[in-house]
Formats: sequence, C-alpha cells, structure tokens
Amino acid sequence: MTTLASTSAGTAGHDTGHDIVLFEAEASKWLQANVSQYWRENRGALSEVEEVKIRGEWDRTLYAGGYSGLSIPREYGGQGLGLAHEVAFASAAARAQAPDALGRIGRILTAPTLIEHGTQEQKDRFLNPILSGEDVWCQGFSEPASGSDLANVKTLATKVDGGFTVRGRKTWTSYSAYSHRCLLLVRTDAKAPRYKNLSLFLADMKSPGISLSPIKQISGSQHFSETDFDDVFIPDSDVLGGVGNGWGVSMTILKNERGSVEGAVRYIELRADMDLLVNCCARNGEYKELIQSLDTRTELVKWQVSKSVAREDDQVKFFAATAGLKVYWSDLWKEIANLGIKISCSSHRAHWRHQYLESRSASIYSGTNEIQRNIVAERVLGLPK
Amino acid sequence: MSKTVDLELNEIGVEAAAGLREMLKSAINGAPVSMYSVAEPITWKEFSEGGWDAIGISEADGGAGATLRDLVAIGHLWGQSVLPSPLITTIMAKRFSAAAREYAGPVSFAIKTRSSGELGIIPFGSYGETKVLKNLTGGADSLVSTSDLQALADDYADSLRLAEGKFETEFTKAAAEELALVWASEAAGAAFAMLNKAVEYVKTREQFGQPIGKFQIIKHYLADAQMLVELAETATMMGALDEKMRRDSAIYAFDASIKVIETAIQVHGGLGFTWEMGIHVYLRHATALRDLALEILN
Repeated sequence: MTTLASTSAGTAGHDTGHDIVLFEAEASKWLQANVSQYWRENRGALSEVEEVKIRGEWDRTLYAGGYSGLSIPREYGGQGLGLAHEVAFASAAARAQAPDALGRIGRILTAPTLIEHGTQEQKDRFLNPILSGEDVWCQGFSEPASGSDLANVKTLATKVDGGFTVRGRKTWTSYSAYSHRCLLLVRTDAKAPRYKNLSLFLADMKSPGISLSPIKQISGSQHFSETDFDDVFIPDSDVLGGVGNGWGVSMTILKNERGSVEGAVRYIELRADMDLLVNCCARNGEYKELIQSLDTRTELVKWQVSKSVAREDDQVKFFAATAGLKVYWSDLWKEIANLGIKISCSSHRAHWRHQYLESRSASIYSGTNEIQRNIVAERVLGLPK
Repeated sequence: MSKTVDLELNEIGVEAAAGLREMLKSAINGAPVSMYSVAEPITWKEFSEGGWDAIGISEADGGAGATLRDLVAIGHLWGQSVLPSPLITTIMAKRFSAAAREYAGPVSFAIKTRSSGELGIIPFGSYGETKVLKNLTGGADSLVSTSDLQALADDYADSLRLAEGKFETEFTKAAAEELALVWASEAAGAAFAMLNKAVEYVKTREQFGQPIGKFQIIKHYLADAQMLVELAETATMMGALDEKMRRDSAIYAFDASIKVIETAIQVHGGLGFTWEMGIHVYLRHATALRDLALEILN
C-alpha cells in the first residue's frame, strides 16, 4: 500500500521511506490505544471546560508517548525527526480521530520561532515545558484597531530599568484563560518608522496588570478574550530576537502558523469531519458527487503538505506550495461544514451545528483569506503592490 | 507493504522531461500557439525515430519503463505547449497494447461521448497515418486505420486534430484511468501556462493609470488560479501514486485546470476573447480531453 508518508520520505533527509512507513504503523497502534472512546464519540459536543481538560491531558499523553515535537531537534527535547514524520503522524492521528493539542500555539508557533530567534537561556527555559504540555501559549497579535494591518499595533512598551512596561489591549486571544505565556507583539518605539518599531515579548500571563474579558463567539464558545495590559512589567530576558526586530520575528511565527505542519494538523480535523459525512450522515448515497469531490479535496490537503515537504530545499517552490494552504483548507472546511449542517443525522446534529458556526472563523483568523490571497498574488506571482 | 514511493521522478522521467522541453522550445521558437497549432512544428518521424513514443513501455516489453508518475510529468510539460502531435496518445497506446508497439505510426483511441451519439471521437484521427486501437483489454488487440473508419474531421480543437468515426475502443479500468490521468495532467500543464501568461499580461496592461495587476480583484482571481494550478498538479501526483484516488484525481485536475484557463481569458479582457491571443486553443484542448476522459472513467 502506498501511504502518504512514504511518498515524501525520500526528501525528508532523516529516514528512508521504509522507516517512515514503520513509524506511521507504530504511531497508528499507539493512537488506537491512547485516544479515548469518549472523545471520539463526543468531540463536537463537549463543554469548553471538558474539551480543554481532555486536550490538555492529550498534550501530556503525547509527550509521555514520545510523539511531542516530532520535527524539533533532539537537543531541544524534540524527537529530531523530519516534516515527513509530522505528516505521517497527522495522517495516523486523523484516522484515530485524535484530539488537537491544547498546546498547539506553543508547539507549532513558539517552539520553531524560539529555535530560530531565541537565546540559549530562552530555549532552555521555554522549550521543554512546551513539549511536555506543562505550558500553554497564546498569541497576542491583533488589537481592536489593528487586525489585517498588523504592523499598526498600538500596544506600547516603554523602557524601564531591567525591562519594559506594557500598556494596551490585545484581542482575539485564543485560550488566553488557559495560557501560561503569550507571544506578545508590541510597539517599543513611538517614533521609529513602520516595521522597525516593534518587538516580540514572551509575556508571563500571571504578570500583575493583565486582565481578560472573554469574548463570546457565534458558536457560543468563549475561548477568545480581550486581553488588557495595564502597566505590565516584562523583563529584558523575555524579549525575543532583540528590541526593534518584532516584525521579522512575527513573520517567522506567521510562516509557521500558515505552513505545512499546521496544514498537516488541519487535515486531521477535516478528515474526521469527512468520515462522519461519508460513514454516517450521507444516507442512501445522497449528494454523492459533492461528497466525492470534498473527499478528494480533503485528501489533497495531505498531498499538498507532502509536496511542500518534498520541496523543502527549494525556497521558491516551497513557498508556492505552502502559501495557499491556509486559504485552501479553511475554505474547504467551511464547505464540508455547510453540507454537514444541511444533511446531519440526529445523533450528529450538535456536532455539525458547532462545526458550521466554528468554521466561519477559519477564513478570518491567522490572517484573513483576503490577506492570504494578497500574499499569494504579490509574493508567489509577483504582482505589483 | 513498505514499498518506498517518491513524489519525484525516476531517471527516465527526468531525462525525458528535460529532452522534450528542449525539443518543444526550439521547435516552437516563440511562435504564437494560434499559428503553430495549425502547422506541424515537429514531424511524427522525429518523435518516432527518437524513440519518444516508446518511453511508457515497460522494460519487460522492451521499453524505457517510465512510471505513471513520470508520464504525468510528461503530460504536464506537453500541456504547456499543446503541440499538435499525437505523442501522448501513442505513448499511452504503446504502454498497453502489443499491436500498437508493432506499428511505427501514431496510435489513438475512439471514444463515444455523451454528445457524440453513435460516433467515436478520435484524437488525432485527422492526423497523418494515425491508427485506432480496437481494444485495450490486454487480449488480442489490433489496429484499424482511420480511413477504414471513414472518419470525418472535427475542428473543435486544432491541437488535437479530432475526427469522428463509427467505432469505439474497449478499455480496461486500469488503462482508462491511466490515460485519463495523463490527459488531466495535460490540462494541468495548460492551466500552468495560461496562468503565467495571465500574470505577465496583468503586470503590463495599464488602465486607470496603473497596471491592472495592482487591482485587488485581479490579484484575488489570480491567487485562486495559482492555488488551483498547484493543486491540480498535486492531484495528478496523488492519482499517479495512489491507485484508489486515480479516477477522482483526474476529475479534480480537469475541473481545476479548466477554471484557471477561464480566469486567464477573463483577466485578458477583450483580448482574451480573440482567436489571435490563443488562450482558446488551450481551453478547447482541455475541455475536449475532459469529455473523453469522463467517458472512459464512467
């Protein structure tokens, strides 16, 4: 059998395809034994508290099983494998309907960014708690007045002895109430030109002066909040990549947020939803052509990620293969959910209502699909700004 | 079970693609597609004597042993220029048929479609000495000449030299799916070429005092087209490497690619709608192949 993992094996640079196939088989066995039946049956209809609890436990289970930080080098506590292994694991996790890690932001965004821009001390301090599931991270980028225009953030950090004092308001901070640390983008220079006035802080969410107001979303859940910073002290040791380099560091974060590991993780969710449609909700061959086409497009997410992994050494081709991924999977997820809420069976009604409403956000968060399309047009196709 | 499959090409695929790319480039030599699609930039003899029509034959049958993944790459390259020559159909015929392998001329198929009634449509049926395969079922196969079929030319797609005759080739599922996928890859190559053409056009065409490529709606049309070009190519890789996905991959790649060519016409404005601009050659090529592919996939 040709598995996805084996298709991208040749270029992973770590392992032969044979080993990846073995890896995926072992991961599959481990997942079958470790994903709870309760989660599989109720994942779309859990209370937020319950969902967060299960996902937090899942972080620790992954770590204990040796499946945390697959593509993070061993010297930083990861498994030292390649992107091809991430894809193989995502593929197996999709079949097992495994939960999404609660520590997603820490693992996918913070960890690779720390490796690229962090000091040795920061890596020592933060990487292990991220991988072990001890620390959950959130992302403090958007503000009430700067969404798509990210470089326009107004939250101001003023230099004081030993660090900075931060004042301002962030919004759409996912899972802030459960987070220990925040990737916080602030303006550290009130006068410097655009793009040169920003810094990225690794803020401790327990710092005095941080307060959260939950934002209720259209799905009814409240895992977003507004996060107020009222003269919050951030020590110099928590500046990532140097003062004034916040834009560059943010671009690394966004690249990871929209990249292939994220795509592989998203495939898990899409596949699980497609399986529900195919195996349960679509009775008597209803909507056969549409379902066939959605299914093909779902599998293409996985193959597109594989293709990007195979192009890893060619910057231009890699970017062309990944730049559109976020638009692709988010629009696809909305279409799947659109059909789900239309043809749901009685036992999955709560699931599809939730997915339908929740998926509206996917084409908006982490850079709206309009911004993503601008990026594809300007940076892949070279159209004039 | 644990066979290693790679997304990339075999040696024969890499060599064939590089050689063919060179050959097409020097034969076309910058000529517009609306001109060369009605000429014969490379004669059949050149392809045949160079052994190009034999690359898809297995090594056991005395060929170069290109994999389906290799042939998908060749199809993609071919689709970028839609040269009016029966190379791809002949490669595929020889891959499956001993009778085709014994014939030095071009070989093709006759396929009845939803709209062709009793007549089978024959790609390159109005080209030179093309013969039509009676069956691709692996049994005693044989060829029939288009003159015996009294085939009549159909001018819908210059790049395919179509003809119609009272005949229908019999396919196995495997042969039908491989052929459909390689044709779908031609469509993906055509889409890639037309996206590039559209991108070049919108960078230079000015309206309201600026290149139209600066307008966000044009950017978004072409960003969507770029994603479809990527995914159409990925679909043909998926179809080549995963037999279970072959049929659906081909259908996806056709639909995505044709959408891209339609977008290329739209952003060219009035020029996109002219014969001379040549985008229609690609659109006709891809839609004609889709008709044939859908028929043999069903």
